Amino acid sequence: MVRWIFGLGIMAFLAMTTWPGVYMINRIEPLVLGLPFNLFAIALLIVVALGLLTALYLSEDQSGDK
Amino acid sequence: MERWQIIALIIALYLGVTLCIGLFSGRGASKSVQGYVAGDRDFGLLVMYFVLGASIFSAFAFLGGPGWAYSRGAAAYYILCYGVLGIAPYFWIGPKAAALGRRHGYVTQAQLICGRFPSRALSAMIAILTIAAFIPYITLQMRGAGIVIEAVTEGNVPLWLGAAIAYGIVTLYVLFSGVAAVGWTNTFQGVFMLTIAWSLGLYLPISLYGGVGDMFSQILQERPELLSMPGLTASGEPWSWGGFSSAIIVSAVGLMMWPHLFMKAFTARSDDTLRKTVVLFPTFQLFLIPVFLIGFAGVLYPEAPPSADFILPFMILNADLPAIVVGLFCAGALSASMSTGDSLMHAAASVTVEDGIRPFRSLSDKARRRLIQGFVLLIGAVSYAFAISEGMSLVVLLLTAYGIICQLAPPIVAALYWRRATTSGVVAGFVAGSSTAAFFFLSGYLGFDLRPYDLHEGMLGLMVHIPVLVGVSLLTQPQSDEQWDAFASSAA
Repeated sequence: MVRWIFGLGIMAFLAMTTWPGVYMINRIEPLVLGLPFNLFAIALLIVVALGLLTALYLSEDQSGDK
Repeated sequence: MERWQIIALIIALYLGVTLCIGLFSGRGASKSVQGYVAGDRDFGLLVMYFVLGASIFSAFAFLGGPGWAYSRGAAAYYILCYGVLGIAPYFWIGPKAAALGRRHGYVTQAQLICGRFPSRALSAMIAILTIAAFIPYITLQMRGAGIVIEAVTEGNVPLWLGAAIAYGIVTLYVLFSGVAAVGWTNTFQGVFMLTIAWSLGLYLPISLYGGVGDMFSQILQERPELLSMPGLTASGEPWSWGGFSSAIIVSAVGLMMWPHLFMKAFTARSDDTLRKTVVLFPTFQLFLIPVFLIGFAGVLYPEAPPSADFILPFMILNADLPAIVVGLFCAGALSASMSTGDSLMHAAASVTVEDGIRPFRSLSDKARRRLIQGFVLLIGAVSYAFAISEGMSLVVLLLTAYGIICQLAPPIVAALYWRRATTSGVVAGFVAGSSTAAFFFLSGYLGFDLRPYDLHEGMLGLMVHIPVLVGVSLLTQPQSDEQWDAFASSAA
């Protein structure tokens, strides 16, 4: 289950950072936390990926899956 | 005491501490090849984290990253994007490779591939391509160190001498302590780099523009083309989406295929350590953002550095900082170069001996360890010769290297997950993919750009590689069950 969500998350990451999905985040304004919107969006995607990786790690750990 | 002397003194101090850590860390390791190349498979989480992180914070990221942001703007964002994509599969591949390594005694990537697909030619081919990809990479790190030292000592320590001192120290500790030195010095250097990236990345925009937001507002008014993806090319034209997207994909596929990174799977203490390292890895991507801010801070600065790669030392020297602070910053930039360079030299020498020589000559463990040390010296010397000669277009070579390194991904995946893959299929795919990448690179280099949609040559190579691997495998005799069981039973 978590593996599937993680897989989808990674595909979404790829889709949103490469053509043509990147158009969704490719705006300069508004500036968020001082960063242009596109740079902020990439940073946010990385943070989400960190969260997903943590969830994946915790779930594999509990199931004892090697 | 003059200003540059204080700076030089701090750098000397930093280099001294690094050397001590490097030499002391090797005392506990065993004197075998496994101890020298794989650290007796005993690296903990802290060391693993910084070893992988140092790979992101190479001289390329530290000098090239700000340089890209400065001259090419949002094009630099691709460097942020590929890390997460590249590391994710390693969550599974890493522990699996580590299990096979423990069982069969592998210490390199080619040993893993050839364990499943026995072929001495394949092993030699991987070794040769690895060396070809490594030398420009090491050269780039050495030049980076030399550039920083020359810039901050106002030319009193020239590039050739700076690079020689920094890499003399790297060679010493790699020679004596092997991978243990790489691990522990990277940890020390990693802490250093992060502190610098953050403090300088925030300090410069605030002192020059009043804040990060103010800086970007001003760039938006004067140079809006820099802030919109995919940014610009090196010559200032708008970059293509094909180029941007395929750069992300090739770098993601290639990231963990660099032998100095992949081989670290064999150094981790446990699978759990390896997984935790993967989970924490994207934090290093976030640490890159302030490094880009340093480059953006230079965009509207009235003066320009001699070339875009000099933007970081240029901004540091022009920021009116006390000499001690400048010295510390430079030590951080040196950390970035040296922490990648040591790993590269060590891996290049290990691969040469373990994959290029060992399959053809039987040698004792002690002789192999000696031979690896000899190659550390040789590879260091060759790279140094390139580093001090002007006019080598290294960044171009490095990008090609990525195109070739990512051709290692299909054989690794096939070895671990696809039972029907055969030796002929893997060899044919590897040859076809690498030659395609080389063809498009060379034709582009000679002035005929034949690449469709501006796609990266490594991606074009993969597009040929994978069908050939699958096709030839299906057409040839499948591997016997015994062969598969002998390779994979414990890892299943």
